[in-house]
Amino acid sequence: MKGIFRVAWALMVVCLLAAISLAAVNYVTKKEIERRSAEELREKLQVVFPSAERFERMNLSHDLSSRSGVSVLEVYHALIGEDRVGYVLRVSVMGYGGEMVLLVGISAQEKKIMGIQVLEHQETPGLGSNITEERFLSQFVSKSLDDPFEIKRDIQGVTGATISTKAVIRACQEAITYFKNLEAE
Amino acid sequence: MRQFFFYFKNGIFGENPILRLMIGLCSVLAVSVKGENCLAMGAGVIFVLVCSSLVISAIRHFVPSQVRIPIFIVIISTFTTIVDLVMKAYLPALSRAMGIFIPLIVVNCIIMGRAEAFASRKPIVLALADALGMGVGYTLVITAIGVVRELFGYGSLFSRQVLPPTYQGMMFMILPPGAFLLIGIYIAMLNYFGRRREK
Amino acid sequence: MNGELVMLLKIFLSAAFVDNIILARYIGLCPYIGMSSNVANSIGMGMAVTFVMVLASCVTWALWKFVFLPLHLEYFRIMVFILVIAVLVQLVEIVLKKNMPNLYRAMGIYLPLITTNCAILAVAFLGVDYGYTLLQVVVYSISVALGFTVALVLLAGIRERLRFARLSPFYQGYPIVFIATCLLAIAFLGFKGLVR
Repeated sequence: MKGIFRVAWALMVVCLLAAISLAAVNYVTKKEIERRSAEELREKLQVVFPSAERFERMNLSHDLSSRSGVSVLEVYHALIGEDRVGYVLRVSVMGYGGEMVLLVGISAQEKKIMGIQVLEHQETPGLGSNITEERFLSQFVSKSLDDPFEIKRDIQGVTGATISTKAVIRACQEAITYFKNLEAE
Repeated sequence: MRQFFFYFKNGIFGENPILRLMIGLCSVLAVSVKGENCLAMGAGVIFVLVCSSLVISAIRHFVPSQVRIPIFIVIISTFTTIVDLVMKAYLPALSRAMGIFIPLIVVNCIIMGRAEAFASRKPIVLALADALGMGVGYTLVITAIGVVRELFGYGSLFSRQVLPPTYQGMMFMILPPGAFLLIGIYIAMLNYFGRRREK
Repeated sequence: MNGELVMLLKIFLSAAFVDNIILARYIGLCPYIGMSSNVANSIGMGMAVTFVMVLASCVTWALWKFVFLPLHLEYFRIMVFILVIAVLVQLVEIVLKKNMPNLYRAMGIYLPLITTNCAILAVAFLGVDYGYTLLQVVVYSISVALGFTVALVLLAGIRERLRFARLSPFYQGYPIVFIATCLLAIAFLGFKGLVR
């Protein structure tokens, strides 16, 4: 009987100490982690919509996905003063190596794409991963929403990574469709 | 003091955890695509290894042997969580690059293995020597693999371009097969030099 | 309904083949290298891993959903998940020993090795990180375990042949195993782009 108490006592002390130290570290780092991720998101939003002054997350009431393999995860309003000048959409799409997450900024006044950024991807290093390069992404800036978005016609694809390129295009098209639906409402 | 250096060196050469004991391989292969990722991973492993070895060695007389494994797990996972949280807070880019392999330090067999085989039996100073040796041995190997993969794969060293920009990059080295091939060659080389020294 | 089925199929394909846990994600290498010296052992290990993986990811999924998230205790995740897995392995061992001695004989010796198998813990983390539903977690863990078993059995087959190969003495043992793994990984690269 005495042995069991000793065992339980030892376990309890160790767990208690571990819990206390973890809670302390968490308390210190939590604010920093939140601050960083909020800041990072803001920076990325700013890149895809440079003219906006601030962004506001929109509450979406209905189901977001429309076609298979692509879905809009979140929508932000881009605001200048109190005016809504456009949207930034967080889009998830299946690429070559797995899920890809992009931000697409769309101006409501000029009906054009303000910019796109790849947040997460698992494309092949050295080939598909080149979709994150400025050289590729800058082609989408200032494109009209009615452009065809076709490889070799108005988009220069990434060499050796057609599927990755198409995934980015699909994400843009989904964002545009979604945007048009939002405007129609 | 002599014993201290003996155990320190033992971890780096004689019983190098990766090339000799074949443990803790997962993170080595997964993280070693860029030099700085390797150093960060090495730092994380050294931190967890040293802290948990010290604590385990310090409390070795108070731990009932029936529950020593759960207690080791609690201690190791505490330090792993600390590394995870601190990395997320202050080095977010590196933390994202290594993803799940930071939490997986907790099941890194090196740490549990050393806790059970060494730290729980030896005085603090020797446990420290062993932990440092093993940690440095781990870091050396992972960096040696990472540097070669980065050089051939991206043409850079620690993210600084060293080969001419026209270098196309050898995709093979960044992909999983390159990692497996490289570690195979490293072990063969170690065998070769070990055999030569014996003669 | 149809969409859900397609989703499950995608999870299966990518977890078992495209993102094979060993050959593409480098997780679970210790048992892969250690337990692959003959085919019979590797099948036993594969069974044991499958069993524990599905059980562990369901339990950790439920804990995460109903305990951790509501209480905002996310930072205890590493500690609790690994303890849950350790306890679970012990429980499975006891239950099997008492009630299913045949099954215990087949995979009992592999069970203690599984506690420190990073693949189990990784699947528990990933299932939670991907935000899967319970059904998806079950499919995901079965597929990962299948991929693990396939890779393990393949390597074991190769190693049985390798025993009769004439090799440079420096390559005997582990080096050639890694080089064989390299070739397997190249073969598995062919699955990339399968899921779209």
